[in-house]
Amino acid sequence: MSIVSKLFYILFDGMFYASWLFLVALGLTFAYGVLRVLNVAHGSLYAVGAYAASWLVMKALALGYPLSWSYLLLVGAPVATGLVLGPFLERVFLRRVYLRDEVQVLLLTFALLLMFEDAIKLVWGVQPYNVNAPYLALGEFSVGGVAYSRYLFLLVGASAASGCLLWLGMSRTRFGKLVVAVIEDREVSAALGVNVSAIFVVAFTLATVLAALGGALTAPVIAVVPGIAVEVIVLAFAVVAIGGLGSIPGAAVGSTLVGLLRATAVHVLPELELLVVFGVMGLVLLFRPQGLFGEVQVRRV
Amino acid sequence: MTLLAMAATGPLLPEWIIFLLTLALAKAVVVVGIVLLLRGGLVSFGHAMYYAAGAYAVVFAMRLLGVREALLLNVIALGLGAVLASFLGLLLARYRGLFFSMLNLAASMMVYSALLKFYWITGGTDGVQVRAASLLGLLPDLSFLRLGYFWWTLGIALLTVVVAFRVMESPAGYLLKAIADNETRVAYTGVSVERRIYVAYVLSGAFAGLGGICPR
Repeated sequence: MSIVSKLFYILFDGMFYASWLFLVALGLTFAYGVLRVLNVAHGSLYAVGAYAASWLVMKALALGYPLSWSYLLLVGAPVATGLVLGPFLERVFLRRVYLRDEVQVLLLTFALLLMFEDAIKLVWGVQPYNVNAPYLALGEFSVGGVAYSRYLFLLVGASAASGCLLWLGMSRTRFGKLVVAVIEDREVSAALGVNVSAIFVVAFTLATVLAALGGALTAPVIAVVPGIAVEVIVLAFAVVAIGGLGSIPGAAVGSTLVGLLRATAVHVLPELELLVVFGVMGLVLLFRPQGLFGEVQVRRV
Repeated sequence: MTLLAMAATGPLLPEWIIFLLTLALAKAVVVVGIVLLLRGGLVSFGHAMYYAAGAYAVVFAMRLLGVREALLLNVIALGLGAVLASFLGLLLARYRGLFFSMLNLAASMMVYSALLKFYWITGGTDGVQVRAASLLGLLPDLSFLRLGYFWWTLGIALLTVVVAFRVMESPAGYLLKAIADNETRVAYTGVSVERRIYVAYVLSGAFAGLGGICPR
């Protein structure tokens, strides 16, 4: 196998993996940016999205609905789940801990992750959900002699679209500018009359929707099992730590870096897959603790 | 008191409770390590790696070195936990708050993936079988083995708690608490904050490693 074709593999695999990571990390970094909460339960929301979408698509196909509807479900289900869970979690849990130490907030979201893990098992059971009809139906096409699935390109498109929409939303719309103001300085925004509470709810709900969407779009490609929440949050954190907490371009750069590195590791020395990812994260944090695009935290004495 | 009561009622309790309690006590030893770091205001999500280090230390000591005595195994596990913590602590003990927590998580994920992927050394998710270890030279026969391990673990847990209590009530322990409250001020009084946290981290890792041996 020539070096060039190996490079092609690495490039494509890296691109797919990077776009997946970006979709997941986007919500995480956005939630941190606005609410200053590192939502470890983001992984659970991803899992809930995946389970909800798989289950609904499975039911729909069993009831005889056409396959094209399943794509609508893959987008609609997570949006609905996000719209329900987002405000609920924010109001009931996060609202109470905004003024506390960030590690306490982290522990709270970690507790939520654990609770969700069991809740998911209660609701959907522990057997794997393999709903890959939407994935297989799109077929493949060859690039340079290797077949790549069309669905994965769809994923890349969805991920890029989400990023762009969020970015445009924040810079062009009035509401987006209010969000940016809250990100910059919560207290001053509140003092100037911005409804910070409302913005928090909306931002968190958006992050939840993004998480669930990531899960739902990934569901046809993977076996949806109880472990995916933890697996995803660890990787998403690595991406966000590399890129800088709260930064969307950071998440993009971080996910590209992690995606390409992982693809390289998988093709060259598979045992190093996770090691390489966290090794790079360690390196970046050593030299630039706030991440590549993160803002330096000023310590109050 | 409670521990003595546990020890006394041991022979009367059903097998499964003894087993669960032994595991719980072993995990309690790890928790003591984590609590030590919590005193310093640091939440570590990655102490499972030291627990794993302790456990695998036992495995390799038994397989490669032929060690069969539990006391020696405990020391080895504690030692490996401390050694691993001293390496990783060089990087990790420099961070606080959120990054400390998540970097520990990342490190533990790396250790996890190494343990998983290097199948031919560690046995991946299949695991490794371990023979029974003798307690201070005595190897009770099978019916009493569980009880013996239970008492042993109880003893180790007791010892750990006593040691940890002494550490936390000492000047070093109070300094840790002060570091949690306001690190910069403590640094201004001339105390090396970095060193304190590093030592606390290594000690914590040692406890976690010790916890790893107990269920064996």
